[in-house]
Amino acid sequence: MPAFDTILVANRGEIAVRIMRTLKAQGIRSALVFHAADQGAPALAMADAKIEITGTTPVAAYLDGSQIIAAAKAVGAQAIHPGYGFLSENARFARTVEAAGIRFIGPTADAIELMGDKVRARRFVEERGFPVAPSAIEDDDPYTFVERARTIGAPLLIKPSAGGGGKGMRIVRNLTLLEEEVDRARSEGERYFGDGRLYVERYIERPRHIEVQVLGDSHGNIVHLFERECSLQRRFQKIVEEAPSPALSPKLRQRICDAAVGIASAAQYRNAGTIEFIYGAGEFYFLEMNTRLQVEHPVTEMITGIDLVSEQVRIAAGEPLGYDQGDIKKRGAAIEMRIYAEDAARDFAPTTGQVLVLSLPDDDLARVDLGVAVGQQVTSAFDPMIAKLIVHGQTRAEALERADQALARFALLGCRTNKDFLRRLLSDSDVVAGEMHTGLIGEKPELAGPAPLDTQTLEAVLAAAALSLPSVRDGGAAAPALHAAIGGWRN
Amino acid sequence: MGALRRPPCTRQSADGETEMKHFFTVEGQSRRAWLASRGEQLILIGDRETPVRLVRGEGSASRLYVGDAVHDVLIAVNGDSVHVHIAGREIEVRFEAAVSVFEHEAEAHGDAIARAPMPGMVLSVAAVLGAQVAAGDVLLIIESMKLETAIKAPRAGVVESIHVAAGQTFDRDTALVTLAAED
Amino acid sequence: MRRLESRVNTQSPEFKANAKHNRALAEALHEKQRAARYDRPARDIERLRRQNKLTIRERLSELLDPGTPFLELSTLAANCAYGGDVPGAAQVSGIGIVSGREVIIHADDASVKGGAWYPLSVKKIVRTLDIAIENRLPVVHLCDSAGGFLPLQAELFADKYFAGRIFRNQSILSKMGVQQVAIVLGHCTAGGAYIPALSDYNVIVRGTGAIFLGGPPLVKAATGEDISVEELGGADMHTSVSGVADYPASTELHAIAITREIVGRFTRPEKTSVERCEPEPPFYDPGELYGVLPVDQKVQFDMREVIARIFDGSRFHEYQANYGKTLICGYARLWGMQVGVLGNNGVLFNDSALKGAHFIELCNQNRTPLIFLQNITGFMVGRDYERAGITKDGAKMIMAVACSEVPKLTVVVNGSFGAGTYGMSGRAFDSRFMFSWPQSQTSVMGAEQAAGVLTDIKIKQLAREGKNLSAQEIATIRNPILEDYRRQQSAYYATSELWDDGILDPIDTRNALAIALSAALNTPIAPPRYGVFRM
Repeated sequence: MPAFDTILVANRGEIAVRIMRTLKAQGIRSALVFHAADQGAPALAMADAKIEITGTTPVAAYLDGSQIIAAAKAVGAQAIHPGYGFLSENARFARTVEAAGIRFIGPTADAIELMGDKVRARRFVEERGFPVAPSAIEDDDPYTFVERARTIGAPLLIKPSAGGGGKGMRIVRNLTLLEEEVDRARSEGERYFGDGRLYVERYIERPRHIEVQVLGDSHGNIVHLFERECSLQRRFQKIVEEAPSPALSPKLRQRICDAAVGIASAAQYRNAGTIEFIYGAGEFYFLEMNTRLQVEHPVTEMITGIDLVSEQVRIAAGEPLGYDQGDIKKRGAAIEMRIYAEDAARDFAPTTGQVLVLSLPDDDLARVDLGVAVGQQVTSAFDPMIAKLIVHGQTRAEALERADQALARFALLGCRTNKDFLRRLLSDSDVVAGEMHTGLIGEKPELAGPAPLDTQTLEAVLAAAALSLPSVRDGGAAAPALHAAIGGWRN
Repeated sequence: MGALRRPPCTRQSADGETEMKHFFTVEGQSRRAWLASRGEQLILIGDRETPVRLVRGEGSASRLYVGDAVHDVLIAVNGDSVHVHIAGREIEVRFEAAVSVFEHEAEAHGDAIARAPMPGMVLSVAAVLGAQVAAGDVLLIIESMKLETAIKAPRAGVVESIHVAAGQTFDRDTALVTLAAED
Repeated sequence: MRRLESRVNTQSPEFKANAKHNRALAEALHEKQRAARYDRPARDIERLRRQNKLTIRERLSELLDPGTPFLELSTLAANCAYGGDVPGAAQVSGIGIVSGREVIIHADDASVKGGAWYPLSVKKIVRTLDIAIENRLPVVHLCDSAGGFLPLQAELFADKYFAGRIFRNQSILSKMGVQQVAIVLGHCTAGGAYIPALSDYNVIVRGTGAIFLGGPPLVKAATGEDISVEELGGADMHTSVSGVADYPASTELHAIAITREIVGRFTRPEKTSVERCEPEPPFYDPGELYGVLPVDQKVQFDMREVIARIFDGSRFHEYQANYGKTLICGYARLWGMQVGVLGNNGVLFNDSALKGAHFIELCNQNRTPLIFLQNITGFMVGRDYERAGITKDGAKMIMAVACSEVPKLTVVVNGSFGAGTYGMSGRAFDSRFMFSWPQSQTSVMGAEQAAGVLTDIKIKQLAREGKNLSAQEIATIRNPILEDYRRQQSAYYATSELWDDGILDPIDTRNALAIALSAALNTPIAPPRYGVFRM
């Protein structure tokens, strides 16, 4: 199959930019679908062709496969890159794309289907001898589901069978609330995935989240690109990821990476994928497989020097990997920090606002994958992740230091972000020591803030505000000069 | 008049300190301050008076002098909000007119308006115009942070108006439902 | 302008004794003021709290701009009246800055007798509004009064300068275009109801504020109607039905914030231009005023030493330094504003009176405001002086003072006696503001002389009846007269009776005069015009 000359990017935000960056470097024309809500986004400025799509909501537009396929045809794209989220793990979409004679840059629809159904995936993995956590699956017998769940014992984690990305997941520590939580999770599953089926598994306290990046070509070659640790999460969503994991010994790393390659091989996996594991008390369990490019893929790129998007395109074009496991080396440590439009102090509630000022760290300090531009409105229409900062260091300590510098230099004003929180998080003693688990943020509410303001800073920001707001500035200046000069005198 | 020095031997505010009249919210906390002009500008916070000066640089970059300290800052103003990037931190300072502050304080006692606790989207509206509701009754379900949240009646009353419809997105503090007092 | 050379030896025992004495007087003044402002029976404060009310001082703190001065007037009004039970005459009056505007505040103090109006309360309110009229100062009324104190109604109701004058003054202010805002913080009943009604704007606090001509008890008595305060004259009724009030407020703080917004919309008056330059603090420390003023009131001192410690850079351009030396005349600057200063250095002779009249005319010609620093025992008496026409020279000075168009400010530094009081722009001569220093005395003549005169009359009267008095008997007649006289000529008595606008700690004089002068410049200065000078 010849290399592609036009690829349609069926995504938005930072990932659309990131994909197009590689396409540009390779001389491939990029086409981009966009909803009007993304007007002014940097992705639009980068695309060689832009096709507007519509929907009842902005998100619905990006989920509308037929509009996107029509757009791809209209611009003569030979392939569609789905990015992450939206249609990236939609088997039907992948199938329809391929049926339309367009290449879907990702795995086969069958692989997506297999791994997309969390229940099937677990069983598949379990049957092939890889470790999974104790669980109860609703589909096995819906009438006894709650009872079976109860016998696993607290704490439990309820997940939608069709889910992913933390949506609709609920921890149950008090079994008397089990029914209620099951109902709520079901309704969320139905709404997000059109599928209310659930499963429940033992919730491992203070687990670490470790995942392995794999790449498979259509010639049966599968390699891993080492692991990433994504234990720093809030609301089951990753906010800081790093590679390699400070938790793994070389021996354990070997075991977990081998397991990942084994699972991918068993699934005859093609393209980029990630196998996620829960790691606790020296044991790891298969969690799920993500059949797409991950948000946190840059940390892998930083330590291996491999451009994953480029590899995805090559694989989709039918090229063989052209290297084997032994050729892949890791170097140093990388950390990714996700900048979210959210207020950590208000339980990470999303924030909105217009991007008024954007100031980025230098290229040699950090890679910035940016989804917003000055003047753009950050709304609640989309996921609140608006940028990622990725740093690399010879050692983890150096990477952490650069991470803090990069965060300090990054400024996005107009819409509150989690950057200050990230700085506090990355200087937490447990994080610095590499002692992380997925509940760390929840256990340290003081990290979420608000951070206390010292008198000097408070005075400075109040002064900055007072001097910048005409209504305040003029109010103060309004006192007659004589009286202002006399000051707060009393007789 | 230019720079004025205070003459020696004058007493300052022996009693009857005045309250600072401008209200700001900084990192979730209400602060009172005042900007006075006495030849130079001074920020007044409590009983502290500190000379301040803001020298605009390129774009949003400014140099802020506060007493003896110098800060390189980025400042963005959006309506009554001022976003300041200082010492690697982003701090939002929201200004609110005193009248509104005191009005809201009073309103908080009555609490007749259900407001959005965070930005999000309306999933469904349970409230019916003119219907009697009890405190805690669900008025609508919103989605935010990928979770459903029920917006409940802050007190008993009659649904006077519903300001949003299903599918609509809203910002934090948006009025969602107004309740009228029971007759 | 040249700086005055002080001749005071600040290291001398005399200076130190003076300083000690006068500092103690200042401290006593501050203590009396503190008590008048804050000392209240606990039950009165509790009552305010119960009613959800702030104290008057808290209200002021919320109303005034931070970092700006407040010149409180007549703080010790009524301190010698009503058994001392009505501090400040249950009123607070003063000039301050609200939303950047110079305003005068009239505030009922509900922590004193429920804010009831005593005769001196009425006098203080009328004076406050007179100041507003004379100086075109916008007024903020803080209304929280129980109404006129009925047992003394004969002394506060009907006469020309009694309570009716308050409403007359409000109307005149409105006619002049001087704006007024009233905040209704309590019940404004009967006459009190007209204060908000006659204000351009008014704000009323829901729940505690009410306005009615007759309160519920009166309505009940008159018509048998049972009606609640809120229904009869509450915030919602008046702001939505009657239109008597403009802005409803949920709380006092809310009301004050609304008021600050209203005042913030006022157009600032264009000040009358006077000669101005960069202000400069006095070269000599104003704190040395304590050492300058002699312990003994009768000991003469050089008024230039006082001038040097009040005015900019201690600079003084003296006029006719060698003529009429008992009256010092010259130009100085007060916070950069040029003023003409007249200060006494002894009794007024013919030449000093002529010099004074001439200087006043110069200042009027030159649009320079006048400041009188009084330490005057009177005009000289005696055959030679009468023959030289001391009375017609005094009349010239009085004519010049009375007809002066430039604003006048008077400070009773030490003594203020006899016709000297008049010649030096005493209360009757419409100085825009008049302040006293703690040890000062004001009366028709000194206490000793007066007691002597009165005792002599008594002795002669008794002698006609054939009674001859022993020294001890004379003393028993004389001493009470002397005591009474001393009491009534003291600054505390004068301020109690509103003969001045307040007693000042000497070191505060500079700022107080500057604030007063700034206010005075709101009113345009008319071209000079006088009556007939007896030549």
